[in-house]
Amino acid sequence: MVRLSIARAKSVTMEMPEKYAELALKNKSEKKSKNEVTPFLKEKIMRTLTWREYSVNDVKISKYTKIENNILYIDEELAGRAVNINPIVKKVTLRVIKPGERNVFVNSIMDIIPVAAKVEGKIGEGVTHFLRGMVVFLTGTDEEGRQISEFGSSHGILSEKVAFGMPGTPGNREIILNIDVVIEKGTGMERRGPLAAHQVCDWILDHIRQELKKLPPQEAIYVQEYKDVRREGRPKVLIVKELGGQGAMHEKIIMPSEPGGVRGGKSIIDLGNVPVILSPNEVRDGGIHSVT
Amino acid sequence: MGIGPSTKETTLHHMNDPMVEIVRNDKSLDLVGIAVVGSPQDNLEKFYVAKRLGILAEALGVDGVLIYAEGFGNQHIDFAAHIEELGKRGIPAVGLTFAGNGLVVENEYMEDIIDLDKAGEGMETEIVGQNCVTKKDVIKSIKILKKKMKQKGR
Repeated sequence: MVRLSIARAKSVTMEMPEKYAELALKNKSEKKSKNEVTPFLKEKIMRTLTWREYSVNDVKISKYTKIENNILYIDEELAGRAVNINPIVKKVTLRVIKPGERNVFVNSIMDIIPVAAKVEGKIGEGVTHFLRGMVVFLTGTDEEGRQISEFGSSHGILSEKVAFGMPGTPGNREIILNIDVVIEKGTGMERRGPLAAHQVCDWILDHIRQELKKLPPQEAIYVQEYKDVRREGRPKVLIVKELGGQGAMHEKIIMPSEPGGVRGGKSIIDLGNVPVILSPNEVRDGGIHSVT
Repeated sequence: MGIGPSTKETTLHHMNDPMVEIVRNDKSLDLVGIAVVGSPQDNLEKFYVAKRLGILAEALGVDGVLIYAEGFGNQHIDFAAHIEELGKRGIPAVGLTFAGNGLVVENEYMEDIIDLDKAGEGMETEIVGQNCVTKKDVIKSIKILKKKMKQKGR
C-alpha cells in the first residue's frame, strides 16, 4: 500500500518498484479506453436560422393583400395582373378551399408550397417568417384542357387525390389557397410551360411575403432556432437527394431568393445536374423548389 | 416512367424533409451536408453525374451515405450508378426509393434498399405525397447505415 498526499508542491519525484509502476500504468490505460467510448461531444455551430411562425385561421379573396388579425386577405386583381409575368400563362384563378370543403374538383396538382419569407439574411441563415395554417396548391391545364402532368395526373376530387398528413402534404386542418393556371396549348410537356406556371405562382406569393415580412416578432406563435452543427469525431454522413432533372416537369430550382420560391434560384438542369451541396438549414429554409 | 404524383416530392416536402431533420438531430452522427443531384435524361449523362457524386463523397471523406431518389423507372439507372460509385470507394450507402415492381437495374453494392411503396400496389397510385419518405423509413435507414459503418470500423 502506498499513500501520498501533497498540499503544495512544485516538483515531486516518486520512485517505486517496477511491478507497482506497471500496475499503475495499466489501470490508467484501461481508464483511457473507457473514456474513448463516450468522448466529450464537440459541436461546432456553423450558422443559425431563426424561424418565426405566424398563424392564419382564415384566407379571403379581397380588394387588397394584407395579414390582419390572423386573417390573410389576397388582392383579387393579382390573378389578372399575373398573366403579364410570362406570356405562356393565359389565365390565373385564385380559390380558397377550407378544411371541410375538400370534396371539390381540382386540376393536376403541380406543387404544394408553404408561404415563408426572408426577413433578414439569405436562405439558411438570418430570420424567416413562416405562415402556419395554410398552404398553396398550384394546379393547371393547358388551353385545350389537357392536364399539366407527365407520368400520371392527380386531377380529380381533392380529398381522394392527396395523401394528407405526409411530410409533403398539409394536415387536415390547413386552409388551401388554390392557384390554378391555364398555359399555352401544348407547352405542358415542354420545359417552359410548367416553369412559367411556377414563376407566375411565385410572383403572387411574393405579394403575400411582403406582408408577412412586416409582422412584428412578438406576434409569432412559435419561434425556433435551427443550427447547422458539425460534430467532430462522429461518423461523417452525407445525405444525397436524387431529384428530377430532365425538364418538362422534372426540374428543381436550387437556392431561390425567398423560401420555397422560384425567383433568384438556379435550375438543377442549368447546373448540369451535377451534385451541389446544401446545408441542413438551407434545405429547411426552402432552398429547394420543386417544379416536378 | 418518371416521377408521378405519389412519388413526387413537393416544395413542402423538401422543407419538412424527415431525413434531414432526423439526421441533423442525431448526436451520434456528423452530418456534412445534403448533396442534391439531378437525374438527367441521357444514360451517358446519368453516369457522368454519378461519377461526380462518387468523387465528391470521396473528397469529403464521408463514412456513410443515405441516398433517396424520387420517381422510378429510368431514375433508378442513376440511383444504381450512384450506389455503385460509392461502393467502389468503400463508402457504405443505404438507398431509399419507390421500387415499384422491382428495380430496372441492380448491382452488387445495392444490398440495402428500402422500398417507399406505402400503398402496396407496386405502381403509381396518382395520389399526391403517398409514396414519399416518412420518419419510419428514415429511422430504419439510419439503423442499417450505423450497422454498416460499424462493420467498416467507423
